[in-house]
Amino acid sequence: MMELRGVSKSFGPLRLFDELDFHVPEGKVTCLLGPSGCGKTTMLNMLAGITAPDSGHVSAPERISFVFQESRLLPWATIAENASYAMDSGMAAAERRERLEEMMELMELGDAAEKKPAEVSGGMARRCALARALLAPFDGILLDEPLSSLDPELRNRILDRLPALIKGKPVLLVTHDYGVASVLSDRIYRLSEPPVTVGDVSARDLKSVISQLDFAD
Amino acid sequence: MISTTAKRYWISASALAFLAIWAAVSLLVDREIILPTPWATLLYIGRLLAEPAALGAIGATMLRVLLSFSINITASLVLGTAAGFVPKLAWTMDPVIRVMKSVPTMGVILLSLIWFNSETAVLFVCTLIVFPVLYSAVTEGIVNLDKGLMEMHRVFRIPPGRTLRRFVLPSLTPFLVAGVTSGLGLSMKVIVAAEVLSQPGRGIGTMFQVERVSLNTVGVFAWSVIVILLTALVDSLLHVLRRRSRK
Repeated sequence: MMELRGVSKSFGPLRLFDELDFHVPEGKVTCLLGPSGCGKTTMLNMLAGITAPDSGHVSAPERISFVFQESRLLPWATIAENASYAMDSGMAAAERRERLEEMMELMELGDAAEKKPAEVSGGMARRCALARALLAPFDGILLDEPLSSLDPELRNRILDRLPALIKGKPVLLVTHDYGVASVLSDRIYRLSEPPVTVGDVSARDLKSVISQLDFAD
Repeated sequence: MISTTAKRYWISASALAFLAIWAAVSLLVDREIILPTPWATLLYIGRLLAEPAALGAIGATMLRVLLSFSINITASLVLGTAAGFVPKLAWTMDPVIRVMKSVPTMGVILLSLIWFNSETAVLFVCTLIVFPVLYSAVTEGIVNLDKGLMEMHRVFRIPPGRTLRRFVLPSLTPFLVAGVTSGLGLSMKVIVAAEVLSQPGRGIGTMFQVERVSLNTVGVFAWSVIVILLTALVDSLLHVLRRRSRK
């Protein structure tokens, strides 16, 4: 389980969170919607241990995986090297290779395997970051706009495959993409303007979410 | 954009002009003991390079440069990286580095001659002068490490060995290349200067002193040109290495 309990955090004069309580249940995909700058990324960063809260308690699994908002790939390593970068080094070489190949195929990165991040499109770099996060051993995963800069068809194909890869783990998803949110999420929450409160998406909101789905087939 | 041909043309023209001025002034002065001509210097270099003693001196100096440089680069990588991550170590090193950077070279040479034998003295002096340059290059590289990538390593709990090999060292490369290029040239100069005063059995500095004592100005010029050529040689070797490593 991933949880924020009584968490407060300010940036300068901006009081972003005031005694915020929030939890991501085991085995569920929880999605955060909300305007930019409302603290979604900060919530992810606190769960990842990157940002410390001013007060309150954060609990998260020991092994956490993260698709950052920017892809954060090593510029001198190839796409294949980047994708396998966070894999368990204790794994047998053959198994490692097999899992990497499988993931590269799933993310449709086979042709880009030997290229450097600067030589591929933003969408490929994005899928590489996603592959790295999914290949890392994890007991909880944070996804910050995981399918941004993918063309719609490719996005839908990856979206079809993604639920099987994150099943059974607590997942916190942040996105502006209603399609991604509705396909992946068990629960969708909307964040308010700071100081942030987390509210259930109202029936009306959900209706608007559903009406915006662009893969009706 | 200025083409590389134009750039080469200018550089060669400048070098030729410099040689012409040297030739003209030496002809005007017309006293070899004050300013030998370029051709006299060149002839002397030719004669030196046929002598085993001179070749031995060059070899001994280059070995010292190589040895002291290996020590310095290793020490600065280890200490610079550690200081980059451990602020308390950086603060401890700060006054030491400041003193090392501002201490007068000649003072250090004279003191180390009192303290050590001539061989150790040369290495000691070179470390004192060159280490801070390389150390600063490394710490600057660490300070400029990509913050996002650093967080990525922390979140995924990438083991320290892999972090160092795959992230820190490649990030340091541009800073190291600059540091190594200026550090090697500096090592060469400092080692020769230290040799002049400490007089080890063999070395370019020792040869400098021999020529000076016998008032052989053309010899001093010849050895200076040899040092310039050696530095250029090392530079172009580095250049080739850099190109290879980029591929």
